[in-house]
Parts: sequence; structure tokens; C-alpha cells
Amino acid sequence: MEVVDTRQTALAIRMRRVVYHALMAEFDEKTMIKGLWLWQQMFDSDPNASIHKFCEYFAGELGEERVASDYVKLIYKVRFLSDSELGDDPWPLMEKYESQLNPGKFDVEAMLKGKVSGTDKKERQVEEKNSKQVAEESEIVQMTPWQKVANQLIQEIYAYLEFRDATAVKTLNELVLSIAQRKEVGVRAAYYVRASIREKKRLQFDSSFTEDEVGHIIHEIYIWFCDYLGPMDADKVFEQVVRLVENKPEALNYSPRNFF
Amino acid sequence: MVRHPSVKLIISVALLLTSSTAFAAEKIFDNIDDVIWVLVAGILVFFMQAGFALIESGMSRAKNAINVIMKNYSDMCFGAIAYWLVGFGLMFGMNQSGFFGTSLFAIDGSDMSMVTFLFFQTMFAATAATIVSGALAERIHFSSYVFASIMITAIIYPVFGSWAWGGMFGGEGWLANMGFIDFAGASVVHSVGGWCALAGIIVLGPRLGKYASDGSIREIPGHNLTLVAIGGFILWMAWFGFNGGSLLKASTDIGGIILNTHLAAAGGAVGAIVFMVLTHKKVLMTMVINGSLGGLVGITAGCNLMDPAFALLTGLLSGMIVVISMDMFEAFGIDDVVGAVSVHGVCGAWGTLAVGLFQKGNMFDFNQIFIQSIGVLACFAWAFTASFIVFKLLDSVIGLRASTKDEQRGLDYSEHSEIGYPEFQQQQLHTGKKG
Repeated sequence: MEVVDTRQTALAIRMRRVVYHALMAEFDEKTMIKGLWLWQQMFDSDPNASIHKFCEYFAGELGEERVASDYVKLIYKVRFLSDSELGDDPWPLMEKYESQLNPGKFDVEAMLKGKVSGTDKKERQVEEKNSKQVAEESEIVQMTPWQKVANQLIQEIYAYLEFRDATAVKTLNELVLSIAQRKEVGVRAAYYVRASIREKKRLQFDSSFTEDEVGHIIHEIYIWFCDYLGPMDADKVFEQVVRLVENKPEALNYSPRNFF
Repeated sequence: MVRHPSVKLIISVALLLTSSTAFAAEKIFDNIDDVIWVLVAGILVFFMQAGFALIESGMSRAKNAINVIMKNYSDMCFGAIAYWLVGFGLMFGMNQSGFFGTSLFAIDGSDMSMVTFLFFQTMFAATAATIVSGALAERIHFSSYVFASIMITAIIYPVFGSWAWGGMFGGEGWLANMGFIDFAGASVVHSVGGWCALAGIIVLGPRLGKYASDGSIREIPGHNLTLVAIGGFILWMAWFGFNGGSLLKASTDIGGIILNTHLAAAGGAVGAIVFMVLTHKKVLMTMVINGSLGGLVGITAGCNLMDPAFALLTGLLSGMIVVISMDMFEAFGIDDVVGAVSVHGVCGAWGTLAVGLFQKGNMFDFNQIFIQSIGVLACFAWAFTASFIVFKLLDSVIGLRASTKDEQRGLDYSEHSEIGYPEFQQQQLHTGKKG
């Protein structure tokens, strides 16, 4: 039986290229490669590894926690570039420096589980800062497949908007809030809509939502996209977003197309 | 022995109907050549349905291609039955009031001459109905459309037809009585269809995203312009039967009618191209084809009465009118997917008026122009109002507009559970696993 090298799948290669393309101007080659190995190991442990989390750990490693959000923005900015616009796969470079960097030192398992127990002050700060997010991601782990897919779908939609026009994110949030206000979703879902937009500045789904409620919200977002971009481009964007989500493992159990 | 007065009345009406049929049979066709020509022309007019199907389907997005074809196919089928049962009688039956016929409903096959005429006229009725289909594409419920097309072929089209053409078998339509001329149906068929389409568009509203909230207009291009071009050629060819067959006899006059038809179509395309060039617009293929169709519609009223030069002029102006009219309607928020209102409604009105302007030996006859104007206005008033009521009723009773979710999925899937291009369709977001 042929063993698939998870580091050479299309998604793994693309994400590596995205991270490299986004951050290479910020660091010298060795630091960049170090970051790439960190990303690679997080990705190996969890193909849905959060870009936010990676950036926070990477910034923490460098002692620059304050700029983690800048790294996130840089990565989101190039996330929707076509393959031809991204640089080459940095894998050969990573292999070249592998022995010097000793990437095995990253305790990625612990990082992903929120069990980092570093004595370094900076690491502790990172731990505190991310404890809330880790708890939330633990909740995500407990989600059903359709809930995970719904979350990925909505985050990709946000990512597209951030890339195209960050001001549109606010409009999208207003739309989602108005859906909750008009009671087009249940009380629990409406409460969660308001809470997630207030705290995270973006919609997230959890078990408060039914499948139909998620479908309704995503359809309303589609209608808004038709107004924002026109129906032809709305179809194209949603097709791209759906394909991105389809590349993720959760989509094997639940197709994002079911929401349409 | 029949004693009950109502039974006597029914029998009397049946006898009257039979006698009028027999009387009519002698009047319609002089010989077998006429019958054969009208049958061939009717077959050509039937082929117009294929042309409309290709044009309308090609101008729609891929996710609605099957729905458009289904509407074209269905309005022909339901329309044929409705017209045989009711429409033909309203249009050509004994017309003593001048407003509608009262006999020849559901005629039997005993009179082959009458049957031939019915066959030819059925194709015209279906044409009027199918014009509406393209204008309302991509957002109307299939069942609502079918009901609307039945109403058009059974009542709306025949009633106006009786005003202009009624009285062949007794009585006379009030417009015909005034001297209104519409040889092959620029108003009777095309304007009626165009105004019904306008009413439907107003009730339905534009497609999702066609107009942004700031009022800007979004282009929604069709999925296959090759189909549109082939449809244009088919309609052009079939129009020779539409206009030529309307003479109802195999005569040498057919040549002049068909030449005028051809020149007007060519003039329409040229007119559209010239106008787009002069106004610094891109020369769009869809607009050129609509220009030629506008020319064909424009010449339909007077193709037997004009010199070729004026037929060409009528077509040339029709082509220009199509371009102006399509832009104007779009700016007013009328989302007409194929431009049916401009091509059929507006050019039909123009062509009807052109009879008063360019009639051979009687140019610029202001009395005729006045009569033609009354006909044009009556056509708009009746067809628009009646169809508006029909669409409003359908909207309130069974719902006219497909849901936004169905619109997003495409009506092929939501209305028919079929997809036009299953192997190639890229924009099919919905898998069909869930309801």
C-alpha cells in the first residue's frame, strides 16, 4: 500500500507557499525557515491549524507578540492569490536547514493542546493570551462535522472580504446582526451571533445553531454578495470558498455545498 | 323530443357552430396549393419555437438553461390545447360585438380546410406566448409561467386578435372595421407578447443582483452566445413562413413578402451595428441579432404593402430602436433577459405605425397613421393590463417568483431536478443532497 506523504499534499504545499510568500520579506532566511518548520509541524499535527495560533507562537518565539496580528494580516492578504502568483515551494530550503534548526524542539502537540509549560516569561504570556482561544478551539474539536465545515466556510468568506475590502467586513457583520435582530434564527443562535461579533469581530458558528439556521445565514450572505459584487462574481467567490473548504478533512464527512 | 329551453339553446348554438364551420371552409382556401403552402408555412412557424428556445437559453446562465427550454416546450404544448379549446373561437369565431368571437370552440376535424387554418393560427398563438418566456427567464416559477402562457394563448392574444383579424367567419373586429392594418401580426402577435412580457417583468422584479442597492446595473451575460446566433438564424428563416404564410394562398405575391422580410431583417442588423458604432458602443453580437429580429418584427405588419426600399428602411430603424429601447428599459429597472419587450413590443408598435408611413401608393397617409396609432395603443392597453392582472393573480395565488435560494441554485435544479451541463458546469454550488 502506498503511503501518502502528508507534507507533499496539494494543501500542505499551498499553505507552505502562502506562509513563505507572506512573511519572507519580514525575516532573514534562517528565521523564515524556522517559522516554516513551526508551521509545518503544526500543520502535520492538525491540517486545520489556525493561522492566528501559528502567528502568535511564531511571534512569541521571536519575542514579538505584539506583531502577531500583523503576521496574520500578511498571510490572509496572500491567501487568495493564484498558484502562479505565489512563489515556489520552500520545502527544499527547509530541508537544507533542517539539521541546523533542529525543528524537533517545537513541542507542537503541547502547543495545539494548550499545554505549553515553558518557564520563559514570554512563553507564559503567550499561554495566557491564547488560553481563551485554546478553550474555544477545544470546543471546535467537539463540534459535529457540519458545524466545523460551517465555521471554515464563514471564516473563508471573511478572509476573502479582508483581502478584498476590509471595510466590507463591517457591512457583513451588520447584515448578520440584522438577521439575528429580525429573529430569522433562534434565540440561542441570535445571542451567539451578537456575542461572537462583539468579541471576535466576526461571525462564528457553534452548537447554538441548527443546520438550517447556518444555511439561512450563509444564503443571506450570498444575497448580500450578489448586491456587493454582482451575481456572476458572487457565484465565483462562493465557488472558490467552497473549494477551499472542500480541501479540508472535515469536508469528507460533510460537503460545504450542502449549505447552498 | 327536446322540451327544455336550455337544451334547445345548446343544440341551436351547436348547429350554428357547425354551419359557420361549413361556411368558412369555402372561404379560406381556393385550392390544394394554398393548403400545402399554409401547412408548410405553419411548420416553419413551429420551427420558430426552436429559434426562441436557443436564443433564450443561450442568453440565460447555464444553471437556468433547461428551465428556459422547458418553458418554450411547455407553452407550445399547453398553448396549442388552450388555443384549440378556447382561443381560436374567441379570435375567429362569429364576432358580432367586434370584441371577441363566440363560435368555433374546440372544432372537430370534419373540415380539413378549417383544420389547416387552425394549425397555422395555433403556431402564431404559441409564438405570442413564447415571447414572454425569455423576458421572465431565470426567476419565474415554472408552474406559474405555464398558467400565464395558457391565459395568453386562450384569452389575451385571441381577444386582441379578434379586434384586428376577427370576422373572417361572420361579424368584424372593431379595429378591422376602422381599417387597421396588421398583415402578419406585428401588433397582434409580437406586441401582444412584448407587452405581456413587460407586465410580467414588472410583477416579477429583476433577477437577484441585477441592480445593486446603489442603482448601478450589473451585466449578467448569457452562457452560450453560439446558441443565440443559431437561434437568430432559425428565427430569420422561419419568419419567411410567418409572413409568407399569412397571405393564406400560394401566390406570386409571396416572393415580394419574403424579400421584404429578408431586407428588413438585414436592415435591422445593419441599423443596430451602425447605431452602436455611431454612439461609440461596443458592437455586441446579441444586440445585432436582436436588431435583425427587431427588423423582422417591424416589417411583419406591412410586408405585403411596402416597396423593398421602405421595407429595408423599416428594418433599419427597427434595429436602431432596439438598441435605444433596450438601454432605456434597463435603465428604468426593467430586467428583460433577452430584450423581448424592445424587440417584440416596441418594434411591433413601430412596424404597425410604419404601415401608415410607407404603404405603397399611399405614403404618409395621416388617417391611416391615426388608425394604426389607435391599434397600437389598444394593443398596449389590453395586453399589458390583462396580463398584469393575470400575473398579479398568479403571484398572490400560487406565487410567481422563485425563491432566492432557488435562484441561486438555478431553476434547472430547483424546478426540474436536471442540470443542463452536468459534466462541465462549474458554478453548481448545490449538490442536491439536501432539500
